[in-house]
Amino acid sequence: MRIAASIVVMAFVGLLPFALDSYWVFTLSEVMIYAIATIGLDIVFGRAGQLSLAQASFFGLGAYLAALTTTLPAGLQFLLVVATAMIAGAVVAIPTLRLSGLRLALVTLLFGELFIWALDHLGSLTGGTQGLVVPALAIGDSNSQDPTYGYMLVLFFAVAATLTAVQISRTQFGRRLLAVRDSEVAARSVGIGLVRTKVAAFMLSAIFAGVAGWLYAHVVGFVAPPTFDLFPSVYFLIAVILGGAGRVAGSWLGAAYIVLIPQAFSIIGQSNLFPILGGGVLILVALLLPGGLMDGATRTAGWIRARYAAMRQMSSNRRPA
Amino acid sequence: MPAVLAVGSLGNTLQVILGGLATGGLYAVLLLGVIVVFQVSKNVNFAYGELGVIGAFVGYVLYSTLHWPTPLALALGVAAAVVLAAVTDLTLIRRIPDRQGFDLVVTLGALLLLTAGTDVVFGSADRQYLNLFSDKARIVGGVYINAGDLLSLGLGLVALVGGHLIVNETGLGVSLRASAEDPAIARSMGIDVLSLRTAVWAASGLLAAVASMVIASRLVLDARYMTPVIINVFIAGMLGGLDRYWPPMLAAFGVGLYNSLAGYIFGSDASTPALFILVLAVLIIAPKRFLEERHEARA
Amino acid sequence: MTQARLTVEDLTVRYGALQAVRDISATFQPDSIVGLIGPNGAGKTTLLNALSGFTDITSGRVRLGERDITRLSGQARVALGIVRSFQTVRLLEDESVFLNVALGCERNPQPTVVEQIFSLPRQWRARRRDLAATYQILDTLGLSEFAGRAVAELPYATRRLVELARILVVHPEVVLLDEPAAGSDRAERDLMGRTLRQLHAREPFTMIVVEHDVDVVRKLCSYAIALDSGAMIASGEPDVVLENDRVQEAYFGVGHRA
Repeated sequence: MRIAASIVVMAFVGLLPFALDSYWVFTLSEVMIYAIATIGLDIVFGRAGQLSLAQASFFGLGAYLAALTTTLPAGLQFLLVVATAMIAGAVVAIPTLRLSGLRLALVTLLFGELFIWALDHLGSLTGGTQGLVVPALAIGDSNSQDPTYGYMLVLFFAVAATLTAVQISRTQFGRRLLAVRDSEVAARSVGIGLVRTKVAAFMLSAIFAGVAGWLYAHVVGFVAPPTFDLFPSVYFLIAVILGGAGRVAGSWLGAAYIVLIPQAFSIIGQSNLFPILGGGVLILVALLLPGGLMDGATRTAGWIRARYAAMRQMSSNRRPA
Repeated sequence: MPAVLAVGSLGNTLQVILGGLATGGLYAVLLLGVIVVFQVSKNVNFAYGELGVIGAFVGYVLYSTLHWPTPLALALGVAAAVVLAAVTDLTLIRRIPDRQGFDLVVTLGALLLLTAGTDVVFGSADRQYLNLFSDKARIVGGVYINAGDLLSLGLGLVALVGGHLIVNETGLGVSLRASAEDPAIARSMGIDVLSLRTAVWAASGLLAAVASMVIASRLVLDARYMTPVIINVFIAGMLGGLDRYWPPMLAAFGVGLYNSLAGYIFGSDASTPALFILVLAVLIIAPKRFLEERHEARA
Repeated sequence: MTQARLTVEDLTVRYGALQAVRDISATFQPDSIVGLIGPNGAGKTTLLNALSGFTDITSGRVRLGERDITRLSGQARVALGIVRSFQTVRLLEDESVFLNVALGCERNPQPTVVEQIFSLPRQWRARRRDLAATYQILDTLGLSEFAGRAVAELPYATRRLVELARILVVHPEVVLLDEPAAGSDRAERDLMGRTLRQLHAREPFTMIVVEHDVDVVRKLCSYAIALDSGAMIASGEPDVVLENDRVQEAYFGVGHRA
């Protein structure tokens, strides 16, 4: 049943680009790219509870690597992005291991500031504030900036990222992450290595963001610093919290929100209103629905099921307990 | 000639130091608000600087567009920030769920909301703010002394000493610390913990607004000018530890001075990496005890 | 069967000027159940912390068998089979009972993170092994029906059992329990005592229990150690220790919580 449903969904998703016009195909690719990076942040923040404000920097790292290594074959680029992101994740994680809460958030924010500073000041390499145009990546007889091909390329990685995140939930590593978030004392008492777990979480999260950035550069064809500064990092945070920490479907929902809603605002010509809504939504969800929309949906479904069961119980013959 | 040059460079150096301490003074004013809020409610408000921006903007609109008397306009600007800070506590902070990082998330949301809101309401153009003495200067012994710098430094010293007296020497300070240590005990002592908290938040709004107005007079007024400033203030707080008093307050002056000297020596572009290096150095060198946030008491 | 004997020699733990534990020497026989008694502040929890690696030892030694574990981290001691509970329940409140108990499988040899993420063969075997262990201990403790429920929804006594299940899911060598019945009523205390005895009878391990309830100590423990102001004031058969004058004075004189 589940397998059949998955096949239907995959077929639908795979055929979508042939049914939509290229603008929407491109937008869906963007949603998937942001979903990959959001799933990454969900690992380090949603599951391991480490508030990182550097996710957009890892995203940017992948994007700029793509822009600077266009002459390399795609496979080599990918490996380079993964390796660099892993190192970058470790570099951010290791000095911050003794920190939590505000201090962690601040230091990761500083890493982000430093990244933007470096982009601005290495103008000859990065194009400074002007940004860089990224030539399309050739795929077979087409390229990554063809909406349909770009979509397929991104879809492949988005599915892989989703499966990875689901698999993590099924492992002891996934349980370690939750233990580090909820109770370091409990984690230590069962013998979990806090340091190794946190570093692994940061590295994984950076890899997801780096790969997403790499795809972004090749699909969008242009990179510039504002896409990777503090505000996008906060948007990734919004995506995780809105969808629901620790839930893969939540990350997708969150990514759809941070890509589609700004589009909607710009269609009605009010793009500067999006950050206001973004801030408001972040506050409301954090205060009223700390488990995020997915958690809210699960609870509602559970409530409906319970009501339904109670009604059936009442209408059927009463049996002694 | 070499002698003159030497005097000139000494003068320059002194001037840079004065400028750094002046900036540090403003950081100290802002940090005092961060510290008292943290001590009473264990929260940090990412939107803190934005409260000041709004205060500064309200003052600006009143004196420059509506032509109200400047002192009244500025006073109302400060009042606006005070009210907004109190409202932040009442509507948001009291409802934060008990989940790691959610206080930061909520105030990050407030930062986004208020920054974008300020952008929309006041427009995104840079504005020249009131001078607040920064146009008055005198050269003393080769050092160019700006009255605005003296004002900043003075405010910083007032915050440093006044804050110490209030936090450590008065009954109010005792109530603050009692509420911070154990709200239940504080309540049993007859302290209205929630009202006290809101009052402290309101006071932090006052500090934010005053500092933001002075900073606007030194820079320009737009929706985001306080963001880098507030990051430096948080860094000073992080370096000193928000549950202490003297170390973070002195760190505020230190960060101001450090930034100013780094800018003087390596060029103004260097302040971001310079600060970063400072923070990393402290993180690596500082003893474990210094960095640990209060741990769960009984395992 | 537990092989190794846990011994402490001249153990001292100092926090600043305070000597929380002073010069304690004791031997915990394999598979014995040892009660730690004493008034509040006597150093019982500190002793458990020192045994489990949750606090630094100022001087003295801790050995497991022939091995000196004084300087081993808590994590390394868990790997040797020394596991503990806490005075207040430490669980992942929002997560399921199943997940909380499975967490204890950390002590089984786990494949690398890469193997886990890519679900390589070693991960399949580890997962099968851990699921089986988790379901088994849930069944033993009568928790199966709660497996999918969030811990926060359960009554206190049940959460205590979940914590116990997390400790016992992989067979331990030494179990350190800090007031396992704290906050429970009479009936729940008796039940906890009986459960502990049954579990111990089934698959023995060395058990060191901090317990205030004299009846529980008498019924459960084969040996008792009384502490006062960080020092050991008596040890031996529970009945003998409880009748000791100094214990009577230090413990009951201060007023004991029933």
